[in-house]
Amino acid sequence: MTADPKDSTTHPTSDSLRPTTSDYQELRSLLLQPEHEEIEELKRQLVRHTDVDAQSVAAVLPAAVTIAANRAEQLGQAMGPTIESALKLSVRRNPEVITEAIFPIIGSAISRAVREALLRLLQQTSYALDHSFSLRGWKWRIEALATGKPFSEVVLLHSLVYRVEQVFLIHPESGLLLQHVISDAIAGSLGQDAQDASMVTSMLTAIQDFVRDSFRVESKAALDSVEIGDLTVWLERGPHAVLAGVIRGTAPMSLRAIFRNALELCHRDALDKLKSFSGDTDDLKEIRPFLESCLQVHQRIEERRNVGAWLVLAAIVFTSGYFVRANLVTQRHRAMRLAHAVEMIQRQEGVVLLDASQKDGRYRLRLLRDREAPAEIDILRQAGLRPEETEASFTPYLSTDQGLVLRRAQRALVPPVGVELSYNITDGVLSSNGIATDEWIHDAKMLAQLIAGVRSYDCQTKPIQPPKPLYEVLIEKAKSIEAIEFKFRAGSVELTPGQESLLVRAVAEMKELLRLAEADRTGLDITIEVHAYTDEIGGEAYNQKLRESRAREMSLWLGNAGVDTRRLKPVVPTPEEKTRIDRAASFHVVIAKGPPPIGGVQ
Amino acid sequence: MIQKKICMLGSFAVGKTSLVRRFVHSMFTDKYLTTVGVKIDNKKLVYGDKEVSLLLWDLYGEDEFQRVQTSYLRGSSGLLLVADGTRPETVDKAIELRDKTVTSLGNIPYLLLMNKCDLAEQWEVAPGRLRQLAQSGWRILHTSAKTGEGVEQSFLSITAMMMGDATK
Repeated sequence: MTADPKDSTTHPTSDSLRPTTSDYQELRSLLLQPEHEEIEELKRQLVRHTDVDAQSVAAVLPAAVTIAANRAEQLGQAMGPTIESALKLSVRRNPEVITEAIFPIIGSAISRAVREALLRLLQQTSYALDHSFSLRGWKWRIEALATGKPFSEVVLLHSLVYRVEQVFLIHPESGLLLQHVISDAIAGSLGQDAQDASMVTSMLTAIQDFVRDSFRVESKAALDSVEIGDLTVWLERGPHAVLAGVIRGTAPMSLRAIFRNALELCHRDALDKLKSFSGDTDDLKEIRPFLESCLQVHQRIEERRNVGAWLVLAAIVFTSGYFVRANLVTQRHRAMRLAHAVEMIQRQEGVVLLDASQKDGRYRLRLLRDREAPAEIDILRQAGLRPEETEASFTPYLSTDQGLVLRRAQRALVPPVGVELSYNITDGVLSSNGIATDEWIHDAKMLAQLIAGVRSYDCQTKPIQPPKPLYEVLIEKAKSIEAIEFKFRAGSVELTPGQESLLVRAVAEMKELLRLAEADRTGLDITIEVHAYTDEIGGEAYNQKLRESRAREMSLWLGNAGVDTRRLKPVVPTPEEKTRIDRAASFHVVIAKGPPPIGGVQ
Repeated sequence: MIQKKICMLGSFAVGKTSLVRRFVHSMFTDKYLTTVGVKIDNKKLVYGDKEVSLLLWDLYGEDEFQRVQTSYLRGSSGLLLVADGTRPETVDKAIELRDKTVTSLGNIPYLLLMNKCDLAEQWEVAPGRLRQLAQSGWRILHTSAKTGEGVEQSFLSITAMMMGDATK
C-alpha cells in the first residue's frame, strides 16, 4: 500500500506543520472579524447610499436651497448660468412652455409699457398743438431746427414745470414709512407736518387697499398715480417697497424711469433689510441718496430768465459786433475809395493833388488845376467821388505837361486845317507842319513865343500858293503844244516811224487846252494853227503843195483823234514867211478875245 | 425711530375713535372712517431709549352691515380689540375678530380694552366672563374715553408687548 503524501492526517510531516492559506484566513477572521464586519457593513451602506442618494437629496433640497438663498447671492450666482442655459434650451426646444408660463404677466407688462408710451406721445402732441402757432411756438421751432430735436420734444421741455417735492418709500404691507426725503424748496414750509409722513404713507396704503377692495381688482393691481389739483403722486411698486413721489406741476413720463431706477437700487442695496423690516427706519438710511436722486426740479421761470439774459447779452454782443464790423467795413471801403481817387487824380494831366483825406464820411481834397484840364466836377467824377460827399478846393496853375502845352498852343494859334502842331516836352519846342497862309504862318511865329511852356517855335508849315489865272494856264498849255513837232518822210505826208506817243500827247494837250478855254466864261476863242514845212529839194511849187498837203493831213488826223476840228486851222506859210527848211509840222495857238494874243509861229 | 402699526378693532360704537382721540391729536377727520373705512393717526412716544411711532389704524366698527376690510390688517404689529362693557355682544365680537386676525396675521400682540368703565354700574358683561378670558391668555384693560382712564396705559402696554415681541 502506498501512502498518500497529501494525507496529512495519517502521515504528519514537517510540511504538515507549516500553516496553510486557510489557516491564515481562519486566524485573520478570528482576529479581525468585528472590523471586517464593520467594513462590510460600510460597503453595503455605500452601495445602498448610492441607490438612495437622489431620494435623500430630494428630501432635503428645498430646505438646502432656502438656507443657501439666505446666504447673500451665492446660490443665485452659482445657479445663474445653469438656469440661463436651461431657459435657452427650453425655449429652443419648446417655446410654448415658456410662453404659457409668462403669459399672465407679459400682457400687463406690455400694456403698461404701451400705456406709458402713449401717454408720453399724447402729452407731447397736446403741448405741440397748444404751442404750434404762438410767437413762442415759432421760437421753439427755431430752437428745434438748431438743436435737431423734434419740435414736440422742445415744446415739452419748455412747457413742463415740475418739482418732485417729497419721496416716500413705503413698506407695502403695513404702509409704514421706510424712508422719506423732502425737497429743500419745501422743507421750510412743511415744518411740523413733515413729521407726519408715516401717517401719509399709511393713509395712502389704506386708500390703495380701499380702492382695490372696492373695485374688486386683482390683488397685484394697484394705484399708479393719484392726482389732486396741481399735485400728483406717482407710485412705483417693488417686491418689498413702494416708492411714492409727490410732484407739483406736470412731469414728463421719463420721470417714472428715474423713480423706477431708484426703487431698483433700493432693492439691490438693502434687499435683506427691506424683507425683514420690523419698523426700525434707522437701518435704511443708506438708501436715502437713491430717493434724493428723485427730487427732480424743472423750473422754467429761472431758465427763461437765464435764457433772456443770455439773449440780451447775445443781442448786445451781436449788435456791437455788427456795428463794429459794419464800421470797419465802411472805413475800409472809404479808405479804398480815397486811394482809388488819389490814383485817378494823379493820372490826370493839368491837375496836381496837394492833400487828400476823409473824415466822417466826407472826402477833402486840395488841388491845383490848369484851365486846360477837364472841368472840376469831371475831375471828381473820373476819380469816383460824388460832389455831395466831397469838399474840393481847386487853385489855378499853369501846367507844363505835354498835352496841356499842346492844348494851350492849339487854343492860342488856332491852326487851320492842314496844319499839325506838336510839342516836345524835353526841349520845349513847339512845331507846326503842313501848309497855311502866309498870314497864319506869320502870326503863328509871333504868338508861339508867348505860349507858356514853349521855349521856341519851329515852323515847318509851308505857305499856300495862290491859283494861277486861266489865261496864264492857257498860255502855258499853248506853249507846251507849240513845242510839239512832227517829222515827215521826204516828199510825203506820212510821218516818220516812232512818233505815236507824241501824237497821243499832242491830242491830250490840245483837248485840255480847249476844255479849259470852254470853262472860262469870259468868252476866249482858241485857234490851233497847223503849220507844215518842207526841205529845199524839189521846186518851190512842189514844196508849196507839199506844205499844204502836210498841214491839211495833220489837221485831219488830229480831228479824227478827237480834237475839235473847228479849232484846227491848217496854215500854209507863204514863201516869204517861210523861215524854216525842214520836213516837219508844228502848231501855233491863237487866243482871242482876252488879253492880246501872244506870239506867232516860232 | 421705530414704527409700529396697531389696528383698533371692535363693534360699531364701542368707542374706538374716542379712545384714539383721547390719546392723540388727529390729523385726519373722522370722515375717513365712514368713507374709506379707516382713520389713521400717529402717536410718538419714547419706550426705553427708543423713539417709537405708533400708527393707529382705527377701523370702522364691524356690524351686521359692514365687515372689516382684512386688507387693512396687513402688516400690523399689534391689535387693540375694543368692547363696550354695557353691550356683552361686543365682547363676543372682539373674540371673533381676534380669531379672524390670527388666520391672516398670525399670533401678534393684542389687548382687549373694556371701554366705558365710567359707566361701570351699567355694565352687563359678567365679571366671570372676563376672568375666563384672562385665564385663557387674554390681557384685558378697562378704559374710559370719556374720563381718559386707562387710555395712556393701554397704548403703553401694547407698545411694550410689541417691542418685547420684536426683541425676541
